[in-house]
Amino acid sequence: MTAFAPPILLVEDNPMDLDLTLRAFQRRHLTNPVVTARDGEEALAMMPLWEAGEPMPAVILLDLKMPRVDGLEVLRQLKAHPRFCKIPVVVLTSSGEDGDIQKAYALGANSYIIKPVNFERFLAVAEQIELYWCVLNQLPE
Amino acid sequence: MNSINRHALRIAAIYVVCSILWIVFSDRLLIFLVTEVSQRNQLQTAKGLGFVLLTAVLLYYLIARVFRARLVTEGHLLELQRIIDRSPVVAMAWKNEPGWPVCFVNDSIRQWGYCPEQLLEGRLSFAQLIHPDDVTRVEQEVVRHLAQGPDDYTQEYRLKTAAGQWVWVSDRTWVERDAEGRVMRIRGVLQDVTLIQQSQARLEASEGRLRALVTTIPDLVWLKDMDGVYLSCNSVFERLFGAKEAEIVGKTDHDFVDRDLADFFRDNDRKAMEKGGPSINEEWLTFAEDGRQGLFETIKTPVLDAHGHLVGVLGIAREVTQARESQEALRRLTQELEQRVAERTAELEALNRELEAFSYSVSHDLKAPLRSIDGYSQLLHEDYRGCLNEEGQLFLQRIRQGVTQMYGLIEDLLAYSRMERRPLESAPVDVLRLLDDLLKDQQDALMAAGLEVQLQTPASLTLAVDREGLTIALRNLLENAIKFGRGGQPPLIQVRLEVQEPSPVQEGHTGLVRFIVQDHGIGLDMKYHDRIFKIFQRLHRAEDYPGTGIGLALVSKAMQRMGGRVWAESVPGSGATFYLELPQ
Repeated sequence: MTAFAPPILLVEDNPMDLDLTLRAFQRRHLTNPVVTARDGEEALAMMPLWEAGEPMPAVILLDLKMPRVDGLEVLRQLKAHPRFCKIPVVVLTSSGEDGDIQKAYALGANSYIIKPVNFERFLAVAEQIELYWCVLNQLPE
Repeated sequence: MNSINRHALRIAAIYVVCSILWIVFSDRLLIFLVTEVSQRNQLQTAKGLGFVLLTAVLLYYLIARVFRARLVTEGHLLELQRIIDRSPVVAMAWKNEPGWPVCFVNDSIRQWGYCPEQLLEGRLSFAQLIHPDDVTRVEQEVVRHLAQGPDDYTQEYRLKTAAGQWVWVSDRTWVERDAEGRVMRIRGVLQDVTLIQQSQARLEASEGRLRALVTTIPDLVWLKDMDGVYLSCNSVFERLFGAKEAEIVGKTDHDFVDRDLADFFRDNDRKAMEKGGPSINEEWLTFAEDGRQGLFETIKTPVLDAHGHLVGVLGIAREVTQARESQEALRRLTQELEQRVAERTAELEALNRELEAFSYSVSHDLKAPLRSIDGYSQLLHEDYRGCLNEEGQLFLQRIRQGVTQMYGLIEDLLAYSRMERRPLESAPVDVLRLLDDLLKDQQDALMAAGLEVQLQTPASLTLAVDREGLTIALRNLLENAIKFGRGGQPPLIQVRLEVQEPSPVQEGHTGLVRFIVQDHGIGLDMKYHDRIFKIFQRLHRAEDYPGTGIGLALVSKAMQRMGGRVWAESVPGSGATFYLELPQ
């Protein structure tokens, strides 16, 4: 991986979840930089930056339940955008509710992963996300 | 007759005068013209003969004429007589003498079994034939008419036939008087009117019945012609207008009620007539008689004559005030109930939404701190293990065990609440395949527990059922059996599937399907039977048999939602048998 590896955008409001996720990526020696947004509003605020030429993320890890603007709304706006709709969005949430899964996919989520409570498994998830979305997955130019 | 005599006498006199004058005149002329006696005698003879001849011709002509005229008259009379004799009319004439003897009666009297001669010869008096109840009246009427006129009158009375039956006759009579007004003759024609009287009586009876019908009906009934003019009405209707039928007939609504209401009535009449069938409307009516008001249902029906031509409108109005009031009360009650149901439903829906939000929070927010505890304790273990003594490391392990248990609880709680909220979806499910899949999932657990599964099922079975509900129920029972059947003798879990076909005799008996899961483990005390299906109820210590106390509650809830039931049978120490029963 080069130093220009595109970042991973992590949208997560819970500070401990955020910390643990970052640590999980660190433990797996992830090469892609991780950019964080603490709620939906912050995530959406990145769109003008991308427009301005900042590198777009290779994948967005999106929590659903967040204050102010929730994950589903972020997903809706992203997928409605002509360019950013191509950024893969992986919903990473505690909710295994069928309704949430349905809604997320209906809005165009590329994947839906329930955060494992067990940290060992969480590490495995982080590894697989990185491997799949940042290494294996091929995006359009 | 006198005039004919006088006429004949006049002709005879003229003849005598003319003959004498002719004889005298012709004799004188002969004497004057013929002087010779013998020749004169001859001529005289010839003249006499000529006279006789002429008078003979004249006589012939006259007699022939008279006879011809008589023949014509007789012919007419005969014709008349035949007609009358064959007619139902009996022609009679009576003399104005005490007892009014019959002086003429034609042959049609035979229709009643009498010969004209019996009456003409006085063997039978006409008065004797009249009904005893009628005879006095008839005689009094005759006396009055003879004394005071009018000379033309009709009487009706009963007449006895020769066979002893009574017939009603109508007797049309004329009185003939002379120049001084003395009664000369009484003539009349009699006609049997029994049938007419009978049909009239029948008609009256039928009309009476109809009238009784219309009068007795508690509804308002009336009949109008096409122009809205009343033809008839019953007594209840009279009360509406506060007038008697006689006053109502011939008038219109405009004569009794205000213009608007009358126009309204009239409009409805027209509607019924245009429609060609009954037209129903409701109206508030005020009784003119006592000012009472009521709601009426009025049916107006066009009335047709025998040829199918429209002749008017029949109206029937029935009071529906009370019916409407109770209907209204019922409607209000229903409305209130509906509103209450709607309110309750809304409350329930709100509650359901709250519950949904609650379980969402549970699923999301409760798990997040758990993840933190687990994550950081793991990090602590990995990065700072060296700084902890053995006891400290045990504490860490306990923390992580607690997390796992808490996680299990949350997951089960979520499953339980989801089971309550989830809509049921009934679809054909291949039950054997489902069982097979479930057993495959439990393969590792079975191996670990050293248990085998003995399956006893029909060759195939497809049920229309909620797949997820059935899956959850069966999975929990299997997990339970593995958990509590461990170490049992024999080391077997028996799974049986029994089908009870719908009863062809007993209606509503849909047939049953029963899943039976039996283990040979520790079993349970039947006195706790009902408790085990309640949420958070546990019969064993967690370190012996780990669990959340939700599994069987979930089974019970799933069965309840699918319209089935679950129960258990057990002998402590020798295993437990769980039954799932579903309608087929």
